[in-house]
Amino acid sequence: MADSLFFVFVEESTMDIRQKARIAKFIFKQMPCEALCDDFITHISNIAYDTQRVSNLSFQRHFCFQHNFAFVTNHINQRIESVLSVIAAEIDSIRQIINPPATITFRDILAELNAIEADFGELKFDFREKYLVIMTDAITLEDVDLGAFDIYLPILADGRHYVKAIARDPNPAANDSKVTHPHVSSNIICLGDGKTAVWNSIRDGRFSDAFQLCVNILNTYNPSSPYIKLEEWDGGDDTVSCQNCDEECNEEEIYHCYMCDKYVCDSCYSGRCSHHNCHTSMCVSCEEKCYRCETGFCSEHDDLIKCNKCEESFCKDCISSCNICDEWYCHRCQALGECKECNKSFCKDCANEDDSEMCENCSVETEEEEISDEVKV
Amino acid sequence: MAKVLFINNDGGGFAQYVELSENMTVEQFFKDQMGDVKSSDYLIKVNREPVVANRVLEDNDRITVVPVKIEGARI
Repeated sequence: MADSLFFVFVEESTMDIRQKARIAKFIFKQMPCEALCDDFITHISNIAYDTQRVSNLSFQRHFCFQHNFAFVTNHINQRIESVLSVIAAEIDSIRQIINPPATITFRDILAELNAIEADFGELKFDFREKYLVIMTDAITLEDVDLGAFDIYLPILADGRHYVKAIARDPNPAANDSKVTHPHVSSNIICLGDGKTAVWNSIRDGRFSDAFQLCVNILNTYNPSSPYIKLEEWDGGDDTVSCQNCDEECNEEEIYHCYMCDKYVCDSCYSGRCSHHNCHTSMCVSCEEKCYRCETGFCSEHDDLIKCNKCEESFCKDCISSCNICDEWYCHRCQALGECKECNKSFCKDCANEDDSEMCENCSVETEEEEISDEVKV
Repeated sequence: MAKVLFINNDGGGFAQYVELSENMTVEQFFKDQMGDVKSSDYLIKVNREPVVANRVLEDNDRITVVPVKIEGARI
């Protein structure tokens, strides 16, 4: 039965029978001896190490027992027991290596290669890197077309190789070109729940199972742990609404106001504070503007002064004070005049009643001088 | 008594020999071994080939079960 099946597969296969036999022989020669030998030696070394630990603990136990350190003795007993159970597990592992449930033969590996071809079509083998390679069908997850992948399956489960998936026609995530699938980054598949099953299959020479598991992993989307979520595959929705006027705008056209901590659109953004030490970015709501020249200031560096006449706010360049009463008047209101005597500014309230071009101070001084001149005469 | 090699790739992917009752079909065997899970969630093969549910198992058959949906992750 097995032989007839074997020949049917060979006749239908795309790979030459000699090529396939060569690959099977190569895998057979390497895989079981190397893996079993490595595992066996590791377990033996572990047992030797743990036996030494038990020996050291038994000396400590003897000492504590002789000195009636009951509490410490009990503690050491527990530690010895735990190391012994580790040794028992190591012995079980060695038994499994010596008596595996199924011994891999050359014919098994050849049957595996035939099964892979029957399931996935063309099979390739990389002799140098020791990878079996198949191609998947095009993969689409939640309407995102990811294309077909070449799966590279190592023939050795030695911890030095990875299961790789290389996209044939990559459609990588917009934000990371190394992520060609939600569970593939830098061409390495993160096997997730299938990790143990895949590596056990490789270790046991069940390559068709390992390939099937990998294909099923690539065809399944785990939304709780992807490299990049499928909903963000094309870069996601980068429109943001302005926190001032609720207008939708592009992420690149949004500004941050450091005064109210809001993100605002271009129209709601005012610019930076004109104070020479500040330059804080701010929105229109947080800005104080000079009524005349429209220079903006943040609320922390609000240097604006209210005009006594029009009651609007002005920067220091657009407002002046009366030299006599210290009241401020904007240049727009033209409420200040220049004294022809002292050349200083004065408001209408502080002007001479008879001569509007002279300030009150100067007129008083002039009057005093005139009086003193009259007295002298 | 006839026995088969059963390889369950759900979880650890272990292999074990299981004894068969007479004229046991793949469907019955799957139910016995896997319990109350849906057979449509698994790819079931006998001797590396897909089979029909009422295929009667034979001595030394090799049955493999692979879950269809396996969640990958990120490292």
